[in-house]
Amino acid sequence: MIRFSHVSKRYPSGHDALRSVSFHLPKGSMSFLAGHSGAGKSTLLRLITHAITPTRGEINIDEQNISRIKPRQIPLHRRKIGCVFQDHKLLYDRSVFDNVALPLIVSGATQRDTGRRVRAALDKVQLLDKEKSMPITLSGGQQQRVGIARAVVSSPKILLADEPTGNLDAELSDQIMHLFYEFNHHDVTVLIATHDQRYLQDPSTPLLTLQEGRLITGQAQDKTEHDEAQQETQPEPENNPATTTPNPAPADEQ
Amino acid sequence: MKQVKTYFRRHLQVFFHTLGQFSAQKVSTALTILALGIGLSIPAILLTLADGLSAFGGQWQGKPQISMYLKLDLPSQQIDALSQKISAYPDVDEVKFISKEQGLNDFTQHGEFKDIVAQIDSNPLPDVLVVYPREDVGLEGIEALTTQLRVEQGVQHAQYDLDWLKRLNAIETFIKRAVYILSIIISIGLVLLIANTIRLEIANRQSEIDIIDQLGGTPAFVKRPFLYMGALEGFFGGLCALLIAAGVLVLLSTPIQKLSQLYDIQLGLSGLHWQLSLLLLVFSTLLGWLAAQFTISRTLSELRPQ
Ligand SMILES: Nc1ncnc2c1ncn2[C@@H]1O[C@H](COP(=O)(O)OP(=O)(O)O)[C@@H](O)[C@H]1O
Ligand SMILES: [Mg+2]
Repeated sequence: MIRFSHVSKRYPSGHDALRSVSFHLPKGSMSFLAGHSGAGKSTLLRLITHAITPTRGEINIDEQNISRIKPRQIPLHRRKIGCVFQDHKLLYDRSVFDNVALPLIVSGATQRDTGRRVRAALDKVQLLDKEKSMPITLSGGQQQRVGIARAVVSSPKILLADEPTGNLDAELSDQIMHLFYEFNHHDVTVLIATHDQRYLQDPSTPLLTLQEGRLITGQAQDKTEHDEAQQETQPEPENNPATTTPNPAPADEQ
Repeated sequence: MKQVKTYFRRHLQVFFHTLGQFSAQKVSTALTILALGIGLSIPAILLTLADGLSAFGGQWQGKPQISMYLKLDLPSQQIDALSQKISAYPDVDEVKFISKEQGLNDFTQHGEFKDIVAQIDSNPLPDVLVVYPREDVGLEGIEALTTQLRVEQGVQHAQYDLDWLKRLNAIETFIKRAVYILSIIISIGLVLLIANTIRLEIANRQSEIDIIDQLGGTPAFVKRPFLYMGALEGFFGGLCALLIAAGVLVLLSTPIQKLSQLYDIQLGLSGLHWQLSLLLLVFSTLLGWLAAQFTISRTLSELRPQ
């Protein structure tokens, strides 16, 4: 589902944020992306959504080489991906309902469909009673859940989260993490950037670790890349032996 | 069919959302629209006045004539002789005599001068011979004839009334040209004004633009509210201009009526022409849309992934 092949990213400032990163995340997998601050985690996620373009290398998302994507295809590509940000990125002049509805409005869903899906998403994050509230009146954890509802409301194939628990206490973090595992059970490919050691130690969830822009765990081996591509079409990605990390099976909920 | 519906629903959503934003920012919107209205009303008023002027000129395009003002104490036999002599000119069709008494009489017909005429005891007007050239005599022929007539015995002065028409035409051309140039300058100013309000709006909503871009909004979707804002500002600015222009023309209507009575012509100024009004509205709306398009396109190019 997500494949990086020797991807490097040098910012216009000359800084090398990623250096020859290769990995593969199969469809329906759940993985963590770890690394010190400044290691390149956000850069990697932004490359997946094509918010930025790689300097070198090839990125394949959902069988599409997005390094060569045409500008008019970018919106459709982004609609396959739900994003959760540490700072929520909500619109503070609109209600919770309108915030969650935004991806549906952007993709032109009907009003009835929109109402139904927004309520389903809010129900999942247990904020159904807050649909008319303004985001500013909610707590940090609640705002993060609004962000999650918005990320999943259009049933994306991929869910990315950039330090989603960064500002939350342990209990709230667990709640949020629990939600991601749940979405993963619905065959969503999930990648979460975090440096919260409590989750990274979970042996059942594969780990990509970045250090100074290099991938030090989870690196795909050149020679196995071909096998991986074949594996992806097989019905049980859990048995994918190609990555050096533990099997990307749907992890236990904590 | 479903796509068409979706398309219209999205447009309606944005349309009403934009109207909602206007009502949320009453003061700044009102100021912008008023500024647009004042700017656009100036060419509208001038164009209407220029139109009236050309209608005025049109009524003068009758038979060309040359007026010969005779010396004050010219005896009547001499006038007759002169009249006959000129009638015999090959270029002349007809000669008409207007005595000084008749001239004074014509003059008193115009109400405004009645009192003045009553106050003077001697008639200051000269006798006049009005010479009508033959129809096939062109403007140059008329000019030559006039020069010839000027040097006749007993003639104080001769002039052809085309002079006036030519001047009027020149003034009209000048005014029209001035109005066009002024319109262009004002339009540029208005584009900048609208572009600036759009620029501020973009800055206010930058996070919204970024988020919609991230969620897979197409450029058209991101642009749409701003294009609507520009177009609606332009439209309401045009509407405001029409109101201002109509008001100004009402204020001008009394003096203009007096003027047309004085010259005994219809000045054809019954207010704003509906075609001009429609043109103004379409033009101002388009102007607003273009200004917005120009501004938002620059912002969007900054969103392109690098
Ligand atoms: N837009 C940018 N321009 C220049 N350098 C950047 C930009 N964004 C990030 N960087 C640099 O790239 C490196 C990786 O950043 P980032 O991907 O945000 O790391 P992380 O999310 O792991 O903290 C950092 O050193 C950061 O300073
Ligand atoms: Mg980061």
